[in-house]
Amino acid sequence: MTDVTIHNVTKRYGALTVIPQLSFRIEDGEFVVLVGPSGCGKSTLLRMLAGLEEISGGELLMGKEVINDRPAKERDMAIVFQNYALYPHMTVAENMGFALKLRKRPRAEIDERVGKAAAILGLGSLLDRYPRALSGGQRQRVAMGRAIVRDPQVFLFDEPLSNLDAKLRVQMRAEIKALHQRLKITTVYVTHDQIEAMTMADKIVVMNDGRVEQMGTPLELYDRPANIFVAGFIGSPAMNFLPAKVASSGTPGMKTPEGVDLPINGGITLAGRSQVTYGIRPEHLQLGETGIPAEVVVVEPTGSETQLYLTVGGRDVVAVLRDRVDVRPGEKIWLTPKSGCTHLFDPDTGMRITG
Amino acid sequence: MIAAAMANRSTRKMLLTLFWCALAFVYLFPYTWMVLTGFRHGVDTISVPPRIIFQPTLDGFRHLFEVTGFQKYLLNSAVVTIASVLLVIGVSAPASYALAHLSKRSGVLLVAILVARIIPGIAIGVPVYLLATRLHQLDTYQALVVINVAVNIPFAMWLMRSFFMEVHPSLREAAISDGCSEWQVFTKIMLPLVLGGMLATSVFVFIGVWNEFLFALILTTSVSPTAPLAMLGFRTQYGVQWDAVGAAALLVSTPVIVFAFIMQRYLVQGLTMGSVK
Repeated sequence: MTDVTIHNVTKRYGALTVIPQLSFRIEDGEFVVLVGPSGCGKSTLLRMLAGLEEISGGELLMGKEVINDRPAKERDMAIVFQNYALYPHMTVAENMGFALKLRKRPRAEIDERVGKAAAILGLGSLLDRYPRALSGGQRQRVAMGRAIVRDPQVFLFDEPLSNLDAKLRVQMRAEIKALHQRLKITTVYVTHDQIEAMTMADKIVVMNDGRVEQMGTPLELYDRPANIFVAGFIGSPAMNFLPAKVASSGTPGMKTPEGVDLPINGGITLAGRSQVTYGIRPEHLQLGETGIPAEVVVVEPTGSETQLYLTVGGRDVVAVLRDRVDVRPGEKIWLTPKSGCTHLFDPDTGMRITG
Repeated sequence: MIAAAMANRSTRKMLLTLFWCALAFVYLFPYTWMVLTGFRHGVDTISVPPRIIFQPTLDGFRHLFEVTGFQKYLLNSAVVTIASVLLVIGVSAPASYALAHLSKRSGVLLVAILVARIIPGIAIGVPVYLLATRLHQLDTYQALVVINVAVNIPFAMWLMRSFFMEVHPSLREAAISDGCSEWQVFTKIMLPLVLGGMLATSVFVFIGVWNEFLFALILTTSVSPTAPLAMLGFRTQYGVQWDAVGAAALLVSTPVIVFAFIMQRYLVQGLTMGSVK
């Protein structure tokens, strides 16, 4: 196990810079999730870590050692690919033991380590099968087994659950997390699914256009998003954003351009600002007697919760209510934001306005 | 209604069977005629109308082995073909892997390679002859092998590159991450996966080299002529020795048919690979 430092790492393809000077640190034994939309550079960064992609600038360190020019096979990092990349002509056991065989480990040691990894992942009865005879979930486990057997310093996962169906994805998510808790190996996990990021990570790095938008624990990102991008990316359904005008009297009250009053948390200084972007998560809206007036458009009951698609002053808003509510499309209701759960952003920079 | 539909279906089936029979006849007739020629006396072959029923003879085969020493030409063909196939596959397999997985800008090189295949053999006949003469390589196995390898490598590389491209790049990356060198990726991961395509390519190269006539005619005289060239000798000033021609044609075509039959599975795989994802 080791810590990994990414220091001013840059990736260029000719004149195109896809990652401009990225810096952050991954602590020893930490589970870090790189999350962001397609094309944000997260997979490129992971491939640079793995040694599969050259680094155009900056430094990549394992512990105190710079590994920019160290070949992939000497990095002691095991990568699990989105499509599993199992060797089709080898059995499960051969796939898992391949790296050890290349290192000329004794047969007995290979069998023992493959056996141990297979036991952890429940693959014991599948060792003689070929990948084509396995289900998606089993292949995923074999890919993880191949990484575990190597006992690497760092695990790298490149969207490993994308090819699985929704149910299996939830199951494998828990298995990967349990595996990390058991092995405590430094892990970098790439996904575009923010639910995966929230549920698995010790630390989330939200990326956009090759830059880090915010980095922190899942709840830090959820509770205090640094900007509109992170606020909209983390959380499902996404946060509601409404443009708002600050009341001129200096009081904390504000209205949408259509004149709808928006209640906010006390304690935020808005001096000198006339416009803000008002953010509220769907699950932080409640039905009330007063508050924000809204018209119901669609009601989606899921059993455990009810999603309401609404309009507020002609703008789309989503609310997720834990209680079962008896409302119908076209009905006028009042929404009350939960205390302390509203967010304000600068409409020009997109950055969070803090008290 | 049902009876009419069934009658319609059986008529269609019968027409289809007739069509396939006609097609099989068109394809098999020349080969069958060639085989029969090898077992007939010359006069039976050229009689009008042709004799379907005849007294079989092995005179053609006897003439081949006892008079012309055809086994020597068959051996020449075998040596040149086996050496050429091994060299073509040996060179083009790693080259195709590199073009498919390692080189990002291989387009120009691929077109340049193809030029060697596009130019008609006869156009380079004189320079090749002069080169072989200057290098004192005329009428040698190596001259024939070199020219056959040069002619067949572009074709083999294009074909095998498509097989290597079928292998997902992440397999190479997984193998590198597992600790493979590039050569180990090629030998331990890629080769087993493209074995079918490689065997299919070797069948095509085998057929091409075994049947090659032009460069054998240009580059050989008495020591290393191949079997197809030797068959030219059965057309003399006294006429064509049809029984010997038929027997030689049967012997020359048999290895190709046997080889292609053994490799049939890979051949089909090679021809259809990439057509279905």
